[in-house]
Amino acid sequence: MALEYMLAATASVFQPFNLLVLILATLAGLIMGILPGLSATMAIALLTGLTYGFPTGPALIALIGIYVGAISGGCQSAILLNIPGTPASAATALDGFPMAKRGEAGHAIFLAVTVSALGTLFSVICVLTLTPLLTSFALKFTSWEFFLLAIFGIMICGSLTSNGNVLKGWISGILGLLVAMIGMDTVNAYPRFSFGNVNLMSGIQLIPVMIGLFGFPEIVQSFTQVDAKVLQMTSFRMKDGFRKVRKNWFAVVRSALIGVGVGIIPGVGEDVGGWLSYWASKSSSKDPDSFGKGNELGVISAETGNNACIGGAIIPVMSLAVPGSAPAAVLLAAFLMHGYRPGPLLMTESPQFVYQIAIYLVFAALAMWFLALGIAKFSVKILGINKKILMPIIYVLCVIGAFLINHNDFDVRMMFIFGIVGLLLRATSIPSAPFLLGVILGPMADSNLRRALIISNGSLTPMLARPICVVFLIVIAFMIISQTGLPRLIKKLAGRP
Amino acid sequence: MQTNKLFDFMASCVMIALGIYVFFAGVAINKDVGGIYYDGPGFLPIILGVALTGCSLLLLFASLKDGGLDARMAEMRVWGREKAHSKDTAISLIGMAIMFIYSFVLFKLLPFWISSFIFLVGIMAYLKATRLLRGLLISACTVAVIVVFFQVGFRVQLP
Repeated sequence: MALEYMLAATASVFQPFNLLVLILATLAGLIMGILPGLSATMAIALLTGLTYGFPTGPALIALIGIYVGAISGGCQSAILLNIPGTPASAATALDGFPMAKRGEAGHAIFLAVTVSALGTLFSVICVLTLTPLLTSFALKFTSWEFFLLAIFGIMICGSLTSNGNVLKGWISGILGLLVAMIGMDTVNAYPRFSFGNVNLMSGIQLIPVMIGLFGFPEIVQSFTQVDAKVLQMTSFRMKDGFRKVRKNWFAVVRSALIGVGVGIIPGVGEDVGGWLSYWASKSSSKDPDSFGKGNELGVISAETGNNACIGGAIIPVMSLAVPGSAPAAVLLAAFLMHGYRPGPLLMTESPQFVYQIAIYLVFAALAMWFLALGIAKFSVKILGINKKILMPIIYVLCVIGAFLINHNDFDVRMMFIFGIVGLLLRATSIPSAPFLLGVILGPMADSNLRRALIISNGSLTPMLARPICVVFLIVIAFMIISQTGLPRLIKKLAGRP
Repeated sequence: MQTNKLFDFMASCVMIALGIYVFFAGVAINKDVGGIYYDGPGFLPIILGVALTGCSLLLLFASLKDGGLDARMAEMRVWGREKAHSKDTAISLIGMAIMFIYSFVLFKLLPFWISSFIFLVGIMAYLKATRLLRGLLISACTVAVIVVFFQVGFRVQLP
């Protein structure tokens, strides 16, 4: 059956219109990834709104194509400009830019693009094997588990994206949950925080929130940015590049495994995958001092790791309806918008979906490889585009993306308001990813908590009697205790006479 | 000036106020609905209000280390003065005002192609992105491509 689904998905990719969509979306993703300031999340959020009216097949192909393209495209500006096009390629700049300064920009880009494709392809294997496993495991979940899963997802995302101050990550997650509380509640149909506004009663749409949070701050920031100097692209020999990749196959596999693992953790993005893979290669290297000075293994590890995250992040989206990264959160919203219901019942309701996505990922990775190498010569030109011209155009697309969801001006206004929220979050170094995760998981947390409490007559005992819940509770408690410095406080208090 | 601590201080003050509001709003919602407390639609907002206030209080205490409230207030005054005289702040604010006018006024009142054209020409001229004639041409081409792509190509109705 699986083979049939995969063959059907492959056949659908080769339909002329779908093939065109795949190429255009991957190309658009690459260009958005190459341009610093346009993140993968923003690219998918924008496209989700724009593809609302598309048939499901081409829409999914476009979304997967732009996701893979944007994550991979970031490496080119990291190498040529020392500014990662997307946060995912931050680790690539460490060794990629010194390589470019040495006159090896072409070689570095070839390596980065090739291992990016390999990382994505490796993650596809994990999508195909782990998603059904995780889905069958998730069938054991009851309301308590779903509630704790939502809380766990937001907390771990807050912890890992907070840049040292975990409280900010958690505050961001709580704010997102609060936004999800706006509108009619699912149990009593009571309009919460609506202030009599009919539009607010139907809740805040996810797409305007996403476009606002991730797109708006980049646009405003570009108003005052000065463009950096771009290094020139150099020629490269494919044979040498392939030989280097073959020589470092172990690092590629290790980085891909790290990438998939990081991707599966809720809310933790491709940037962490890239950094962790880079760190693993550096710490296991015989010559760690050469990292940061143009070691090609640094580029290989970082790019494999961040691209392997793509598949990793999609696994929990499909099996648990919990996104593995910020771009995957947007993808989850897009799946819901196109009528799919990711979660434990996915394999029963739409078994073809997992195989469809896996095949689209494979073709997106292949398209990305050809296109990225094809446009490498023009990267310098793309990087030279005036942001003060480009960003206002992007804002017009943001407005259309927000509008097309309901054909309602209210969503455009919401996009603007959440854009201001995103700007304020960025100014105060509060991460936006937990906020988005909170908005997505809020309804799940609310309805499952209340349903569980109604069934147990308000008692928490059934939760404590379920092993999965106990594991979640222990991990959540450990996170709170370790991250808030409680042990130090207790030690301090115990030390007092 | 410890900008991080200052921003943490300002953010935590706002969040504490928001957390307290959400808590009382949750209580009011549950009171309004009646019935069992944990079944009420205000139950999760109450928990979230408490959690937000708790986290924000911890952030506030951390931000008050090294100098306390007086230091933060003094820093806020310096930061406010700096920002008030900053050219970048003015550019960003005026840019956002143009975006606001487009999103809240023009988009609602005018057809999409006119509102977007006015917005693009206006913001490019303000940011001195390019020469006026080139700006007009880029704006016209952009709007034309968008209209053709969505309205003609995909039959999506634009306002």
